[in-house]
Amino acid sequence: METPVHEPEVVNEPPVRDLELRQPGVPTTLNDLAARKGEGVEIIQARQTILETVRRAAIRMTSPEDWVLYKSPEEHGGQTIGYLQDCGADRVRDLYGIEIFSVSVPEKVNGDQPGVFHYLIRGSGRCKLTRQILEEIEGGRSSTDDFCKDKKGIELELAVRKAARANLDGNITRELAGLKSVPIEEIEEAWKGTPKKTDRCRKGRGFGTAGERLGGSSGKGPDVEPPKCGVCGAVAKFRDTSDGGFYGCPNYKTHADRKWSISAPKWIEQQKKAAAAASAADASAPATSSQPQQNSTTKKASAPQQQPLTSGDIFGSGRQPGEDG
Amino acid sequence: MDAVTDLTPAEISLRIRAGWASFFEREKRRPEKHPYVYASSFRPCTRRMVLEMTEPEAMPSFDADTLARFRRGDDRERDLLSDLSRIGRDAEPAFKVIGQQESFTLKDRKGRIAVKGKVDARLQFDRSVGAAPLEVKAWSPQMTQRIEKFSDLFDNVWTRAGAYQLLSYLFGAGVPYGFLLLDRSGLPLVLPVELEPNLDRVEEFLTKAEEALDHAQAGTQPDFIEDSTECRRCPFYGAACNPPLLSADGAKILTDPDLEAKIARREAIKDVGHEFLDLDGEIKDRLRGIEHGIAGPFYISGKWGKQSRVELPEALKKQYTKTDPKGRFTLTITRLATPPTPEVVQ
Repeated sequence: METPVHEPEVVNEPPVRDLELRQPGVPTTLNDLAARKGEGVEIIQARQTILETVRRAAIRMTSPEDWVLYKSPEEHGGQTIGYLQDCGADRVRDLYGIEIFSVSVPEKVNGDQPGVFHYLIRGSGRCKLTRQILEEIEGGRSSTDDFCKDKKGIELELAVRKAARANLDGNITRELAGLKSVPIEEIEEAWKGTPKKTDRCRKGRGFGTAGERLGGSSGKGPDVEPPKCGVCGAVAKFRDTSDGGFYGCPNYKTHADRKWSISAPKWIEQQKKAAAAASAADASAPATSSQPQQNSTTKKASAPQQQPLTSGDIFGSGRQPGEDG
Repeated sequence: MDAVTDLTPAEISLRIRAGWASFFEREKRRPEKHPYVYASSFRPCTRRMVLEMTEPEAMPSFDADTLARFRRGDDRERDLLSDLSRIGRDAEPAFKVIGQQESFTLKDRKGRIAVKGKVDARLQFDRSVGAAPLEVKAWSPQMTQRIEKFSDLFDNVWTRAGAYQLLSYLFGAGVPYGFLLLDRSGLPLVLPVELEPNLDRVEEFLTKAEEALDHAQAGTQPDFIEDSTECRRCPFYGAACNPPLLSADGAKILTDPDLEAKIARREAIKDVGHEFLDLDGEIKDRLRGIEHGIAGPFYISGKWGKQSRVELPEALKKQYTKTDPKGRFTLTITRLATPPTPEVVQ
C-alpha cells in the first residue's frame, strides 16, 4: 500500500477589499496604499472623513454642562479650548467603541496632612474604531476636591474612590477620542442646529477669578506695572479690598514662612513719584526702583496681610483638567 | 439666631426647606449586612447582589430628596390599604385586607433562607382559597403611565425588581395569583399577576439568590457582568467593584458609496420633499369630496371608493395587541460636515 502524500496546505488569504480599507480600524501600511495609487488617496480621504464625522457626532452628543472652558493668556493668543469632563466622556464612549480593561484595585495614598488622602487607579483602554490601545493609564482623585465638601468617614472614602474610577474612565476615553482639548470653534460648529450653546459651559482658568466669572469686577488692578514678590520674584497679583487693595505673591504657599505683600495705594504712589522724577530728570532710564520694599518680608499687622490669599483667589475655584467629577 | 422680622419670605422658605432636609437626614440609616437576598433586590448582576449582602456600606447613602420620596411612598401605601379595606366590604366578590407587613422567606435547595421580604398585605376573598399577596408601589408617574400589564414591568430597569418581588411572594405562599397595586394620579391600577406563566422568572431569581449566597458564604465574588450599561447605574461601580467596560461596539462604519450617495441625495431633496408632503396634505384636505373642479389652469377630478376598516372593542383590541420592544425604529440622519464646494471648470 502506498504511503499517502500529504500536500502542504496552502492558505490563500482573502484579498482585503478597498471599501474595507476605508475603515480607520483596518490595519494597512503606506506601501499598501501607495501600491493602490489613486485608490490609496481615496482610502485616506475616506478614513479622514470617517474620523472627522465621528468626532463631530461625539461633540454633538455632549451637553454644555459636560465641558469646562479654559482660556490661554492674551499674550499667548487668548485661545479658548474645551475640556470634556468625565460625565461627557461617558456619553461618547459607545460611539468610539472604547473599552476599558485590566483595571487595577484602587490604591489609597495618604497625603502630607492628616485626613488628606488620594485614590489612584490604573487601567488600559482600546478603541474599536481606530484600534488604538492605551496601557497603564492612571486615574485619581483627592479627598480635598470640591465634590468632597461636607463628606466624611466612609462616605468620603467611597466618594473619592468612585471619582477616581470615573476619572480613569474619563482619561482613557478623552485620550482615545482626542477630546482632551477641543477648540471652542469646533464645539460651536458641532452644536450648530441644536439649542446647545458654549455660553452655558462652565468657565475655568483664564476667565478671571471665581467672582469675576459670576459677574464681579475684573480685579485686574491699577494701571501700573505690578511689583514683583520680594521673596521669589514672581509678578504680584492685585487683590481688591475696601482700603484700596494690595499686591500679593501668587506663589505665597511656597514661602509661607516669609510673607510678602504691599499696599496698592502705596505702590501706585511710589510708581507715580518714580515716573515724575524720571520725567524731571529727562532720563531715558526706567524708574530707579521698581521693587520697593522687596525686603519687607515680615510686615507687621498691615491690613492686606490680615487677608491671606487662598489658592482659589489666585487660580480661581474652577476645576483644572483631570479634576472634574 | 435671626429674628423672623429680619428675614425675607424667600429666606424663610429656604430655611424651612433646609429644616425639612435635616429632618430626613436624621432618619438616615446605613444599610446593614444580611445573609440573604432581599425580595426587592433582584439584579441582573449577581455580583451586585453579593455586594449588597456583604458590603452594603459601600453604597452611597440616600439623599434627603430620595428619603422624602420613600416617606411619600410609605404614606401612600398606608392610605391605599386603608381605602382598600373599606372597598373590600362592598366589592363583588367581597374581600378582606389581612396580614399587613408579614415577613416572608423563601428557602433554596440547600435549605438556607435565600430570599426574605415583607408582604405589604394579602387579600382574603374566601376561606376556601389562599389569600392573594398584594404589593403596593408608588413609583414615579412617568413609569406607571407606561404600565398596562404585568409583563410591562420587565421592560423597565427600575420596575423589574418589583415584579420579581411579587412573584417570589406568590411562589413562597404557594398561591396561583396575586395583585400589584400601582398608585397613580387618578384611580390606582390593580394589576393581576399569575404565577404559572412566570415560573421561569421565579426560578431565575432563586438560582441567582442561591449563587449569591454561595459566594457570600465562601467570601468570593461572581464574575463581572458584561453589560456596561448595568455597571454605569450600579452604586458599587468604582467604590467596591471595578469591572472592565467591554460592551461598547462603536459606531458602525458603512463604506458603501451607493448608500452614501443615496443619503446625500435624500438630504438634498429633503426640504422640497417636506414642502411637497405638506402641500399635498393641505390640498387633499381642502378638495376632499370635489368630484370635478377647475382652479386656474388646473382641472381637478376625484371619485369616491370603498374603504374597509376593522373596528374592534377596546378589550378585544388590547387582548390581541402585542408589543415588540424592537418593533419600531426611528432613524435620524444629520449632516455633520458641509458638502465640498464643486469645482468650477472655466
